[in-house]
Amino acid sequence: MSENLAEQFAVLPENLSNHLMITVIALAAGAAISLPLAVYVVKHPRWRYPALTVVSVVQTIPSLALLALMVPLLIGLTALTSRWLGIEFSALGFYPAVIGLTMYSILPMLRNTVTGIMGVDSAMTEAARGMGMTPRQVLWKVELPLAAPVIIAGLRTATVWTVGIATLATPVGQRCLGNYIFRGLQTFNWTAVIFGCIVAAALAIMLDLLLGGMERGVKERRRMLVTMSATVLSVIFVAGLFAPTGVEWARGFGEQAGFVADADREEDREPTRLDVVRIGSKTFTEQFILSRLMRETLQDAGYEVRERESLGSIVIFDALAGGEIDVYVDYTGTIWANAMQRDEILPDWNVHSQMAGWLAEAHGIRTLGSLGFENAYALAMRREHAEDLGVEKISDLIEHARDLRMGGDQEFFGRPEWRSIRDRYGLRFRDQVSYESTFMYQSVVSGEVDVIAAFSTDGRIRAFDLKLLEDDLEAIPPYDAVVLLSARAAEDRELAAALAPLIDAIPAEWMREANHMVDRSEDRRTVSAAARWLRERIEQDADD
Amino acid sequence: MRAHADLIERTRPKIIGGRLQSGGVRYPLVIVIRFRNVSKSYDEGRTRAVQSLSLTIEAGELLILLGTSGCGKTTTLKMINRLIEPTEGSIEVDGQSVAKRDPVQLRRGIGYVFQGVGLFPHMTVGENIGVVPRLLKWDDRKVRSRTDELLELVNMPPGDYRDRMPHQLSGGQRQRVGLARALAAKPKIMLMDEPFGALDPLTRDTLQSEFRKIHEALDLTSVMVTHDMTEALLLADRIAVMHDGEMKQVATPRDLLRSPENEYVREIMQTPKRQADQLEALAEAADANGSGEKGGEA
Repeated sequence: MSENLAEQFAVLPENLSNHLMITVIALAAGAAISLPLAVYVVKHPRWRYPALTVVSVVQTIPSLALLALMVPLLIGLTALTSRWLGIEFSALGFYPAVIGLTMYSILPMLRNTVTGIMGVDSAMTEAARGMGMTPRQVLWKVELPLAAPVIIAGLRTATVWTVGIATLATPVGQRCLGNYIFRGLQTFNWTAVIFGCIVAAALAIMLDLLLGGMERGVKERRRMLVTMSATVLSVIFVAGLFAPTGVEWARGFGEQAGFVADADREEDREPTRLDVVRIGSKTFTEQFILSRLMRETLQDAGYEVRERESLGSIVIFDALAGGEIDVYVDYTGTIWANAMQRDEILPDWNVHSQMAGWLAEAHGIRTLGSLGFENAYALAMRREHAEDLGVEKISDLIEHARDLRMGGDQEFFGRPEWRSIRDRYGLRFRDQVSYESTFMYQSVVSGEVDVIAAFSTDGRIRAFDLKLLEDDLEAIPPYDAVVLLSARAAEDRELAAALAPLIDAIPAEWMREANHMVDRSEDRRTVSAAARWLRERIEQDADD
Repeated sequence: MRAHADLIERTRPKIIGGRLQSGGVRYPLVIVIRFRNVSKSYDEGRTRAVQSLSLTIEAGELLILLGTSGCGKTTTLKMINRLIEPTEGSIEVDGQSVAKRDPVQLRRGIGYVFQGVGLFPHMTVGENIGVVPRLLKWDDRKVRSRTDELLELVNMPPGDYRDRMPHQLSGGQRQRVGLARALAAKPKIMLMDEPFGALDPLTRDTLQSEFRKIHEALDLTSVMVTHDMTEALLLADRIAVMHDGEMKQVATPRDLLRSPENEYVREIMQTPKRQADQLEALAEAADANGSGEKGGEA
């Protein structure tokens, strides 16, 4: 088995168990809401249309957006509950994922339950009433059992949907099978993407078959079949609830056996020292590598570390500010434009100091320092194409822009950097196309677009032999990679000391090389291999 | 004419014999169900299903509501156990107005056999029969012995049928279970809505006479709805003829045949006679042909 495939299998227990957990909890919650609601709207027809409409509208919200929206909502909510009730909960990961999935699971169950109950032959309900059943007895003894096959069919639909949509829980910080897909897409690791898809599909098919068995058993009144399917499903359900804890416990058991030193460390622990450090990463290769690099560095310093990967760039900042994660790497220009809502282009040193001041003041976030490289937006073209047109710097594009198409990632054309480039150079392209960043690189290689807004340290610039155009009028703000610590982590001096060797230690070429190792099409390395390589270079450099 | 005479003969002993023997002695004309000027209309009075109906049903009686579909007979039946509420007038059961009784308790005390049987398809035969006893919180052993007893009563060996599902039974068997289910909690009153409507003639005949026996053996007061003239004439103690929501006449089958009070009743009472005459003519023709053929063969 290749190293790549082995790596996917290594994280399968964690990804699968978490996926199963959020799926079963969301389905249980969805059923707990939709069944009583369905019964209510069947008996109160006035509410039937409004309820079904609201639930259908929820369904039309794109799933990724719905899940992501839960994060700021929950951050607001946890601020309120901690102030008024003294209850705090994590606004990242489990809660937004489960709440979002629950909202999605309601529609099929609600619709089928309503249809099922209303489809019960009125002769049956009249017979039940005529024999002296109360309305509640009619519901429980006659209507629900007769509607059961239709209700279970709704549960089936909801299950298949939820298993699929749960893969989108990755960007809100919940580990699931989506981790394979998101990370795989970003790192060009198709093995991971396909692995994730196959496991998710297999899970969906298995649950669907079991529920199908139950549906058939109920419809054909075969009690054995119902009992068997229900038993297996309950086992899976209970397993889903406890699997992540079980997996963690098993891991912990293994580790405890390995490290006897744990007990000693406990004693000389500073009161401010963090028990667990949670590292966040955004959705691209460089972030995965840096997250892994910090993880290993901190583990060597004796910290227990959790990684929350593939967070959206707004979600991740909110998460640090809200104390949901402790450390991550961001870029000065991003903080400047997105978090601080500033759009003037200032020199490097000025941006740095204003940003550090603002972060500390507004959010208690400590700017530990710059890693030593910049990952800015940079316009890039195919080398041949640039040479044909004689383009070296962005200002050379001015005369050609009218005939060229420009590609950017999803957020680029909405960002101040784009306005700055466009206005300072007076660029008017023939067309502007937004891509998911993996496909943006592909599209410039295949010639669908001519110029893209690449990232200067992106390994794919080397991988695809792209030419970076010089920003001769200095329209693009600096994008120094900086390590940020949450207010809680800022108190832990040992943590800062442990990460100190990384500060100013990574030149842009190394970062690009590390990214390239993961992103190139041949002789590809895993993220952990690239992180190891980077760490060795840093250590060698320090020794010299 | 012979067929018609037979029909009267078969009916007479039941009515006359049964009622004369017991009437006045075992049943001192106890009125079990009384309709007082009952009307039922829909659409705020535009559709009148039942109009000013007054009727008393005595203990031990088997009264049949007879009429064509849409005449209001089923509505009348359903008003007795409050499946339908009257718009005017009142109905009394055992001397008490049903409007003042909790409909759930009222219905548990009255057996009901539904049109098209109405067995619950998700329950076994035994569970179907045990529905009302369980609603009345009988303990499991008592429910079970009652179920078996009733299956015996309707000639279905409990060992063979108790655990079957309704879809595994024939139409006649389902109807027997429906009857057993209605009898489960030992009601004194039975309401039956076209109970034998969907059965083949042979099965219907058997079940009719079985029911008549059960009715008498258990001292039931029964109200049955049917549109089948022959069934009404052969089975009922009294027949209430309904048409367009009005009751045209209430009388014993014999009196209906002998002295119809109006044109409508006279008209419909002709049908069985006419059919009997036709049947007889057919039988005579068959006899004649049959002997002719035999002669030819020889």
